[in-house]
Amino acid sequence: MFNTLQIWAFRDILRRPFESLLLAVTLTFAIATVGTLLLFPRAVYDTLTVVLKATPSIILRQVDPTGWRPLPIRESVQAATSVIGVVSVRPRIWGMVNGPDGPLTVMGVQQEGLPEILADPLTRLPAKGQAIVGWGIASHDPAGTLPLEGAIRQTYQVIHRLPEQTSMFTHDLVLLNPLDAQQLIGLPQGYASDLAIDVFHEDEQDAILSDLTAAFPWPVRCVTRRQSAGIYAGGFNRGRALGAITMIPAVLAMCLLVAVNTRKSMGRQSDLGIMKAMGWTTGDIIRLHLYRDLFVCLPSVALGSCLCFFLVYGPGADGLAGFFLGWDTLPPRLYLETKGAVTVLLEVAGVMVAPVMASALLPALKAATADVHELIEGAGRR
Amino acid sequence: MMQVTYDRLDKAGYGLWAITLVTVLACVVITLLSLDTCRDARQITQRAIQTLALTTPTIIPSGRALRNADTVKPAIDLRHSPHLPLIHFSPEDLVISSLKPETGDIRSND
Amino acid sequence: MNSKITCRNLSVAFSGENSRTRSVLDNINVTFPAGKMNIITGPIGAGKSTLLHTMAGLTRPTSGEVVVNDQAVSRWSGAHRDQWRRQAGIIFQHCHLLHELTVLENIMLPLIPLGHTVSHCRSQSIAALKQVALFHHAGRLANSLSGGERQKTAIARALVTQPHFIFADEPTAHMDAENSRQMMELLYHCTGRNAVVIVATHESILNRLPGPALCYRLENGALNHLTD
Repeated sequence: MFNTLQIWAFRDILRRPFESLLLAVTLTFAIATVGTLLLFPRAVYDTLTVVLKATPSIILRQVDPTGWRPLPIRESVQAATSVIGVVSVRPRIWGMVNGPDGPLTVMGVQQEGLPEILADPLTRLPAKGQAIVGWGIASHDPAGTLPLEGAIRQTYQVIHRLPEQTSMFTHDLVLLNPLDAQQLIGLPQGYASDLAIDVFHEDEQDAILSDLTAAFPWPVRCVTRRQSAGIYAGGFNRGRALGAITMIPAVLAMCLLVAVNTRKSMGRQSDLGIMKAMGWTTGDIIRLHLYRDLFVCLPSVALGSCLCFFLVYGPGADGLAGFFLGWDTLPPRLYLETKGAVTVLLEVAGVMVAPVMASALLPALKAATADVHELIEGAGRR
Repeated sequence: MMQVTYDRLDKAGYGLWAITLVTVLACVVITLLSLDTCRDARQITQRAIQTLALTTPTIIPSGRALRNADTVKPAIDLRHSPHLPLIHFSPEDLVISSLKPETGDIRSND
Repeated sequence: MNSKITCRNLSVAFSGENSRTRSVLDNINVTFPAGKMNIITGPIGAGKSTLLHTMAGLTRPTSGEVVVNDQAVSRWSGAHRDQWRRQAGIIFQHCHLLHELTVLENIMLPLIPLGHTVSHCRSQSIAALKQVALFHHAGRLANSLSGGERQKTAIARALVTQPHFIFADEPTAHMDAENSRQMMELLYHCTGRNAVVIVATHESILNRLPGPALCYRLENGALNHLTD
């Protein structure tokens, strides 16, 4: 499988095994570290981009000069459905309340909404005084109760947990009976927090806004899915930029490594002279160097990328998310967008491996143009 | 009987096989992880989002301004939960919270 | 076909201190035929090594040319000169072995780029090593050898490809009389297969040569034919 020159190239690595091992280990961890720092926010962003496509097209809220106001359900639904292009209108009862470990999002589950999604894991809906909680909400009470504090203070019986796979959206969600939710949030009877509106065409999201606003007799504020995604993208781009800054030490370490590698290779010019005197052509020498560096860089890139994937998409993601984002209880389920991941890995591999390869090939190319006698004279007496 | 060797080319050959094996194994792991990157989870999550009309991912803990991207100003969180302390909101908080928000903790200015 | 190397008006000068050029070889005209031992003698610093290196394609002449079988190899471009060096076996005065390699691996060095299998390279190198009676040191690292052993290794390395042109620079300088005789016999043996063998050495060896030779003396940049 391997030709003699390739075997000789590996033999050449064994001439200075510890240097090569150090280079390989450094490269592996540099690629893993930098790759993870770049890939993790990218994976989060990619995942969000994909799943956000399932969110409602438009969220409509009633506002007044002080901010948000509850919506009267019947009139609002009527007004929204009168707009051409609107496919469905769903009033949402949700809000923020204090849980035992911090703020939680409470949502009143409409009777017709739950069965489809929770058909498998759950057999019943939350009745009055009952709650279905997200994976991140731990019940401190052995009896399985959850104290919540909003407009009122109330303790609920936890009857089930939402599937772990949906944690990206349901991790700190508490599903309650609609009446319980309204009481806890402080919504009057017959009022909702906002409307979730779906439109017929994705492109209609923006075009329909003026009609929607005009259809309501009170001031409303609409946010489209596209706007939401844009805001998240902005947040994560900042995160990625800051992540990229943390690359600087890794890149500086690589520069040092490359400088040492170049110096080491230049110091072996006499070897190249001897090889040329022994009948090695410039092409042979370049191929030897290419193989030698590939045998160090290729496994390093593969192992580094593997570590990176393991940390971002594999079992290591839990620890990584806890470390970087403080998601102690949220098991991230990041989805691989092949194009995005490959782009990041190619960038990292390029940034890390190209200088190493160049630093090794440079002396070989220099030797190609130099006089063999001069190269050998550098060796002195052997 | 063990053969005496006067060079390390056999050892180099084994080394080549070893690094090939390592590279292939790493590629296999990458492939397996790529194939199993939560395709099921994506479908279940999307169904949950559609059914419950969810708009806000939980990647940032509740109470953070960025948590509800469509209401970057914190008014909605405050109005939804009158008993919560006021949310401290600043640009640097936005950046920090996008990187490492403290889980479930909410900054207050009162 | 009988090979030969011809130097035509060959001059080599090096730039010395204060930008002065120092002429080492001055207008040398000579032909080294195949099948005969060619011995070049001369005082230390006369330019014997430079002449060998120039003929072997390790350095370019300042003027004149080296012609091998009617081809002016010294005028060839780098890639072609690489091919010319492949036909030559060179024994350096200071051996120039690769320290971290074993004796056998040093001898295998010229064979590696030729595309042979490892086992073929190994068997050919072992044969060359046996010719210089150093097989018992095959697995030792080159830097653990004595001066004479290093020279034997360098000779075996030069001969392993059975080249048509052999350039030996002081090949027996660190050897005792018996080993010197054996190595010179080995080089004489190469003339038997019609190789061009050129040996630069001290005059003291001339009366101990195991066979006939064309002898030259290099002095003050000029090469003079001494005797057959």
